[in-house]
Amino acid sequence: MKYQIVFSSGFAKLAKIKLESGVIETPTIMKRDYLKNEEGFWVIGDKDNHITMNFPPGFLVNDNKSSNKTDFVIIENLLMHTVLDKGILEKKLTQSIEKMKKIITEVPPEQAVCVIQPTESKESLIKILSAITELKVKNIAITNLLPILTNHRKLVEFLGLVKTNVPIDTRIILLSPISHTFIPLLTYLGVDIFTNDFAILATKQKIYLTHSGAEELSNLKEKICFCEACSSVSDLKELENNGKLLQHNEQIYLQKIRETREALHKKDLRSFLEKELQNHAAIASSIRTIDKRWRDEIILRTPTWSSYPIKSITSYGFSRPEIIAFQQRLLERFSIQKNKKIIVLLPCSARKPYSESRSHQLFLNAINAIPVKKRAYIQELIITSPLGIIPRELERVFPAAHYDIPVTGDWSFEEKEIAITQLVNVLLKLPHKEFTIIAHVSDEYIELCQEAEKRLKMNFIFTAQENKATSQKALEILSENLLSLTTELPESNHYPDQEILHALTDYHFGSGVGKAFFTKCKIRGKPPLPLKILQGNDQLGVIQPATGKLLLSMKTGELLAKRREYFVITNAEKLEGSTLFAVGVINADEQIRPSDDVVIITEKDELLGIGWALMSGVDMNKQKKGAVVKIRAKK
Amino acid sequence: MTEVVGIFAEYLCKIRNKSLARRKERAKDKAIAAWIEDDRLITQQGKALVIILNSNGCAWAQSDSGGCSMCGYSNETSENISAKDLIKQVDDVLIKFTAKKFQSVKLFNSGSFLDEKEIPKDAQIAIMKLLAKIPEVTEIIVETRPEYVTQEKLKRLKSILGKNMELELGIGLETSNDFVRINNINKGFTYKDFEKATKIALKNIVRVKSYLLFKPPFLTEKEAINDVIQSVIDSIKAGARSVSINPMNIQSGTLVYRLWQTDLYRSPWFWSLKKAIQKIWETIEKEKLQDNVDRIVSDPSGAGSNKGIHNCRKCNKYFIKAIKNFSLKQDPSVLNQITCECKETWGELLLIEEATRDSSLKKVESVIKYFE
Repeated sequence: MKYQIVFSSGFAKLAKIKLESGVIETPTIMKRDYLKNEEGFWVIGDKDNHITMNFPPGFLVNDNKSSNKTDFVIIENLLMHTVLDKGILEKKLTQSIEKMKKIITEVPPEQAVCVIQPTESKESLIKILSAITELKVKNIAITNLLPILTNHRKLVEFLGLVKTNVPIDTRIILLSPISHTFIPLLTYLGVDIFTNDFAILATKQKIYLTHSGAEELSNLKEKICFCEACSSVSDLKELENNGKLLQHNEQIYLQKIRETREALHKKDLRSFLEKELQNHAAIASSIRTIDKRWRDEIILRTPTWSSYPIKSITSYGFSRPEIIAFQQRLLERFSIQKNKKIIVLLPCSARKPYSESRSHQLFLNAINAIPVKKRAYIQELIITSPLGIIPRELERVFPAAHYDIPVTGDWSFEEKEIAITQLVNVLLKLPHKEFTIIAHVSDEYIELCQEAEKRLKMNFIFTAQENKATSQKALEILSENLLSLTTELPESNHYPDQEILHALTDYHFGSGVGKAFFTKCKIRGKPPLPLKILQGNDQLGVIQPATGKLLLSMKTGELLAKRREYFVITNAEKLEGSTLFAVGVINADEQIRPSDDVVIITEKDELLGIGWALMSGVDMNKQKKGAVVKIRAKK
Repeated sequence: MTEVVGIFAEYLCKIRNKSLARRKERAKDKAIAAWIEDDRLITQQGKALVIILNSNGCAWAQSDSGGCSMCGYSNETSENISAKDLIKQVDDVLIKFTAKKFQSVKLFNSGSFLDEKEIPKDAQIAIMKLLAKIPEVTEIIVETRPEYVTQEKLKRLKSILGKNMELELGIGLETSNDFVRINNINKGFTYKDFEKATKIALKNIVRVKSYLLFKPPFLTEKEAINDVIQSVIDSIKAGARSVSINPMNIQSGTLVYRLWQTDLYRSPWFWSLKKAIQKIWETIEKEKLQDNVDRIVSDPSGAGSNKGIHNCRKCNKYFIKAIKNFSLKQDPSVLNQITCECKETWGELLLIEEATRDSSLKKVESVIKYFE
C-alpha cells in the first residue's frame, strides 16, 4: 500500500491510496459490512477499489481482539472523554502507548489506526498527538465528534490542533456519523474519510436527503431528484419500498463526497465550501472561526501560486487565505521605490490583468502622455475589493489577476474598510515625504480615498471627482496634473520591466532580493507562453503567465542560496531524479509555502538544484517519508 | 488479590467532595421519603412499604476511593445521624402508615444497613424489632455492600424477625464482570466478594437480591445488553433468588452525570431492556434455572425522561407501564405488545455504536434535528 498526496491546500488534501489492484482517492467514504458470523468491519473507498478496517476496541475493556485481518488496523482507542481530567488522560495514555508499542511491531505504522476524540485539555491532546507521531502511526480515527459538531469554536479548535500536530500525510478518518452537508467543511478541516451512516440513519427515520439538507419524506410535495431510485418510482411513497430511499440517500451522500473531491481536483475547495455554507449556520460560523483561529497555519499550507479563478461572491471570501496572504505579503515585501514622486490611485477593472482592460488602456494612455523621461516618477496603485491595493507591477500575480466579484459599484462597509486600511498601510511606508498622491477615481472610490486622506493626514489630488474616471475630461485633467507635477523634475530613465521584476522577486523571496537578482533585464514574450527574463541575450529566468510566478534559474538560485532564503538543506551530495524526498531533508526554511520555488542546498550552502515545494517548509520538517520538492534543474 | 480501586477513583473522589460540600441540610429524625407501592413479592403480587432513611451515608462513597461513578445517593444523606434518630425515622413512618396494608418493607439507607458506622448496631436491632411487630409483613429487604455481611449480624437480625419473616439482602453487584465493576463503576469489590457474602446469607437462611446496573458508563448499548444478561444469569447461579435490573438514571454530582451533560452518555433504550429481559428468560429456560429464581424485577427511576431509560416521546409511556406489568406478573410477553418506528433507529444505532465507539449518537436519534 502506497500513499501519495496529489494536492493539498490549508488543512485539506486530495490523495491516493495506491493498491496492487488500483487506487482509492481520498476524501472518500467508508461503509460497514458484516460477515455471516456477524463480525463487522469497515470498507473504505467509493469506487471499485477498497480497503478494510476493523471496528475499534472498547475504551476500558481489554479486548485485544483487533485481528490483523483488515488492511487498516485500529490498534488503540484512547480514553479521553471531555469530562475526564488530565490525571486520568495521561495515566491512561501511558498505558496506551505501551500497548501500541507492542502492537506496532506486528502492524505496519502505515496501516495502523489510533482512535482519538475531542478533549478540553489542549495540552493532553498535543501530548497524545505527538505520541502518535512518535510511533509513526499514519491514521487517526476520530469518534465522539457529534457533541462539538455545531459548536464552531470547539470544532475548529480540535481539528486544527489535530492537523497542526501530525505530519501532513496522516490520514484522518471520521467515525462519527455526520450529515452530508458537513462534508465540505470537515474536508476543509482535514478529514479524509467519512462514514455514510448518516444516510442510513436518515433512511431508517424516513428522511429524504436533499443537496442542502433533509426533508421528511411525507412532507415532500413532488419529486425533486431524478437519481436512479427516484426515477424508478411514480409516487414518492414508493421510495419506502425495496431499499429505494436508502439508494437515494446514499447517492446524495456520495455526490457530496465526489463534489468535494472535484473541488480539490480544481484546487479550490474554499469556493465550493463558501457555496455550501448556507446549508447550516454552524458551517458559516466555522469558516469565520477557521479564518481567525488558524489563519497563519492555513496560509502557510496554502499554495502561493495558483491559477484558478477566485469567485469571491460572499463576504466569507474576504478572509480566505489566498486573499489575506496577498495583503500581508504586499505590506511586508512591497515598497514604493525612492525614485518615485507621484502616486496615481486607479479603480480596478473587471478584466484581469488590469492593463488589458479598456479602462486601464485609457488610464495608461493618459499617464504615458507625459514625456518618457518623466515616466519613472509615477507609481500606479490599483484600488480593489477584496484585495485592497495592487501595484501595477504585481497585477499578474495570483490572486490579483484571478479574483472576480460582482461589480455593482456599491461597496459594503467591510470592503471599504479593507481597501482603506490596505491603502493607508501602503502609503504609511512611503520612502520620503515629497510624494504627490493623485486619486484618479470616481463614484464610491472617492469616499474611501477621502477617508484614507483623513487617516493619513495627507491631501490627495482628485482628478475624476466630477467626471467618470474614464471620461475624456477626467483623463485630460489627469494628464495635465501629471505634466505640471513633473515639469520641474530632472529627466530620468524608466525601466518598466526592471520594476516589475524587482517587485515580483521581492514578493516571492523577500524585500530587496529583486535588486540582487536582476539588473538591466527585460521581459519578453506573450502569454500564454512563458515570459522570458533576458539580460542581453542571457536568459535569467521565466515568469509563468497563468500564476504570475517567477521561476528560479540555477543562476538566480545561486544568489538565493547565498542569502539562505527559501532553502531546503539536504544530506545528499548530488541530486538524482526529479524528486527530493523527505528522508533527504535536514532542514527546510519555514517560510516556504506549497508551490514556492526553492533552492536545494548542502549544509555548506552549496546549491545542488532548484525546484518547487510540494508542501510547506513546516510540513517538510515534520515529514519522514514521501516527496517534498519537485526538482526542476540540478547541478 | 484483585485490585479493586478503578482507574477513575481519584477523579471520582474530587467530584464527590464537590458534591458533598453542597449537600442539603435535613432534619436528622425524619426519613427522606416513604411510600407504598405495588410490588412483586416472592411468590405473588402485593404491596410494599418503601422507606428511604436519612443516614450517615455509604462509607465507600465517602472514602478516598471516590465511590461509584453513577451513584449520587450520598447527596441524600447527612452527618452525625444517631441510632436514636434512625429509630425515630422508622417509628414515625410506621405510625404514618399504620392504617395501610402491605406485605413487604423495603428499607433503603443510601449505603449499607449492615455497616454499623452507618446504622449503629442498636438501631439495626431496634428497627428490626419495630418491623417484626407489623402484622401481615412477610418480607423485609435491606441493602448492603458484601463486606459487611457476617454470620453474627445476620443471626442477630434473623432471631428478631423470627421464622415467618423473610429477610433479604439487596447487594449492588451491578455486573458480574469484575473489570467493568471495578473500572467503569468503581464499585470496589469483586464478584468473589459477592459470592462469599451470598454464601454466608444463604447459610443463615437470609435471601439475596442482586441489584444490577443496566448500562454502566463506557460500555456500548450492545455491550450493556450482553452484560446485564450475563449478570442476571450469574447472580442466579450464585444464589440470588431475586434480581433487580436497574437501568441507569442520571444522578447529579456523578461522573455519569458529567458524561451525560456533555452528550457522551445516553441512558439505555427500553428496546434494549426488552431485548435483555427476553434473552434472560430464554437462557433461564435453556439452562433450567427456573427453580433457582423467584423474581426478576425492574423498577426504573426516571423512566421515560432523558435522564432515565427512554425510547422516543411516542412510546415511552407505554413502555413505563409495560415494564411495571412485567415486574409484577413476571411475564416478559407483556413487552411484546408495543411497536414504534423508533425501533428501526435503535437497531441501527446499536450497530453503528459498535462500529464507531461513538458514545454521542443520541445526537442523531433524529437526523432532521440537524437541519433545524
